[in-house]
Amino acid sequence: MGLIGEEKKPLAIFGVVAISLAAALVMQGNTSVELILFSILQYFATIGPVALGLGLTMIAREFDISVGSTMSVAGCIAVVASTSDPYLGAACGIGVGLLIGLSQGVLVTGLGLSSISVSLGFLITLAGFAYVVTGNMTIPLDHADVTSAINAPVLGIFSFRSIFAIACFAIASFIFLKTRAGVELIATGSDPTAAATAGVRTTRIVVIVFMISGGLSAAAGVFLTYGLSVASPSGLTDILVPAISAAIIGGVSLTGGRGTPIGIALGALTLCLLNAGLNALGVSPVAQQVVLAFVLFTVAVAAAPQLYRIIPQRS
Amino acid sequence: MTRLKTLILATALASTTGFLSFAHAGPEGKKLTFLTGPTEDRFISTFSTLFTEKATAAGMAVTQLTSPFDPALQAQQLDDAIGQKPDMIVLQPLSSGAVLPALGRAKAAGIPVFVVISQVDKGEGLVAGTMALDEVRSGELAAEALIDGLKAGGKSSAKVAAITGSAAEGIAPKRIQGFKSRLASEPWIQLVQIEDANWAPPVAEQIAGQMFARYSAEGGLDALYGMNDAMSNAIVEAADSAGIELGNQTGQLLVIGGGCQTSGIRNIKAGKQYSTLSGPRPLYDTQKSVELISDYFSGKTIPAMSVTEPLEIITTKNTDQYAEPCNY
Repeated sequence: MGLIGEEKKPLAIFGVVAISLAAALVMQGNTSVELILFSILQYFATIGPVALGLGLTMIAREFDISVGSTMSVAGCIAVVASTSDPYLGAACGIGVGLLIGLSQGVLVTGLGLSSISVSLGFLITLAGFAYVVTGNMTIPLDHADVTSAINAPVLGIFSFRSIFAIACFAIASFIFLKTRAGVELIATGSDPTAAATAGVRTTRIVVIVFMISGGLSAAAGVFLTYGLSVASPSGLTDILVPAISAAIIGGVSLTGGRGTPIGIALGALTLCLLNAGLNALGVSPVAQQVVLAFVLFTVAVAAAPQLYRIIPQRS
Repeated sequence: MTRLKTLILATALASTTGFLSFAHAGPEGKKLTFLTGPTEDRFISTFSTLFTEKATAAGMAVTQLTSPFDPALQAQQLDDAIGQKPDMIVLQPLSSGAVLPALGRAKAAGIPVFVVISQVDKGEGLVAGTMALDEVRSGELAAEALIDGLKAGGKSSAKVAAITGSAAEGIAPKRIQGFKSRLASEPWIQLVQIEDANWAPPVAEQIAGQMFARYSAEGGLDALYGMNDAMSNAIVEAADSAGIELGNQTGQLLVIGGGCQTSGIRNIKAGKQYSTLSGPRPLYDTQKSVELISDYFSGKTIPAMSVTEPLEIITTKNTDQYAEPCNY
């Protein structure tokens, strides 16, 4: 399948960013390696699962822009439902996310609607629903033990949240590489008609990737909410742009049919490295945006088909 | 035995040196990591600039990180700041609840946190000190200004409304609490609507326009409270667009602001806004914050909560007094 080849570019970008930041931090004399790695992985725990879900929909030539609202509403539902049992709250939040994904997948495939239109509708509706669920109030999580446990360092640099995110990518990569699902997803995204003719059940694939996207966004939202010990109707973070950026840096094509979970993980990690590393260096957020824009621009240029016609190829 | 004596002497010398270095400690050379909301916001921008200037003048080095009202990003920035091991983190909490876990991690790492602009509820033991506005009092004073204005216009009954900042948590709920509690003792005033504009003047302008349309059939609103001067200015603009006269006479709309901003002072002088409040004032608040932080590094005990002083109503009677400190 040449999947490893698809991960070369994100790996190269990740390597360059990692080495540059490590060198800058060493020159600065910052030796808090453990704390910086913990921070990087905490951010990865927030954007990683969402980028994975969104990236999978992009590989299938669809687009789930409702991830931010799904994340927010799932966190709110989890806290509201967690009064007696935080596990029940988490199950409710993630269950709602799966249901949101299922609804979107069915609407997109069943009615032949554009996924952008459908997920935009969900984005707006869910944002309003979060205000209804919380009564436009920030709601604290009354389980301090859960907050402590979810953020507690494991082996110095990990936490429950980051281990969950890493596990998601590991499972997705295994399924992608070792089962027919990966091939069928690539085929669906490359040419849905040809894939259907070849016997791929493209409808089922699209519905499943939307469910995965909804479920992962909801899980990320629930664990972020539990980790911050508060649910906010206005959303705890801006996730859509970082998630799209991670997927693109990770080699996912906006036109579908290209990308891998490992590539998306590398894209998300690159973003986390940039974010946490530049924060540790004390670079202003405005400058950070410029650096991120430069990385995205470089990735876009590197993927431009015309570029390889301009650059002379070695024979 | 000689080794033991040497060890005891070395320990005593080290302890004395440590004590002396603490006794002479001060703000000079201290590294501060300063976490705020977006500097596109006029108040945050002014506060940040003045705070950095004053802290630098006191010999401290300031590294600022901003977040676009994103509590999760700020929590992550707090973790990053802990990784930098500064001498202190100065924090404008974007979500009182969401920063609590990270404040616990800062405490565990031995890094003191000083809170500015907004407060952290249930932050006892987690923050070294706070410099903010008495938000409940701010709401009460806004209500008092509104009552004074209506009484001065000879009103014996009134319908009033409020357009607020983000009501989910933080500053706005406390101001609403003060505003409502003061109005509760004035049964002739009916608080008919409170709307959340999320601190955004364009949203405030839109909501004001909708309120004018809604209440026009019932004789219109008598007064409207915009939670800061940027929002009260938006109300003034919406009223101008709708052809509503501003003032405290019958058929006119009384506009109450807050936050001591240039637009508030300008509108009061132009007769378009009845009042604003003398806080928060970046000039005073930043000076006081830097003094408290310097005291902390000098080993002095600082209060858990410090507030903007004086906090009073600004009307045409005292605009000149506040024209300069409210110039932002």
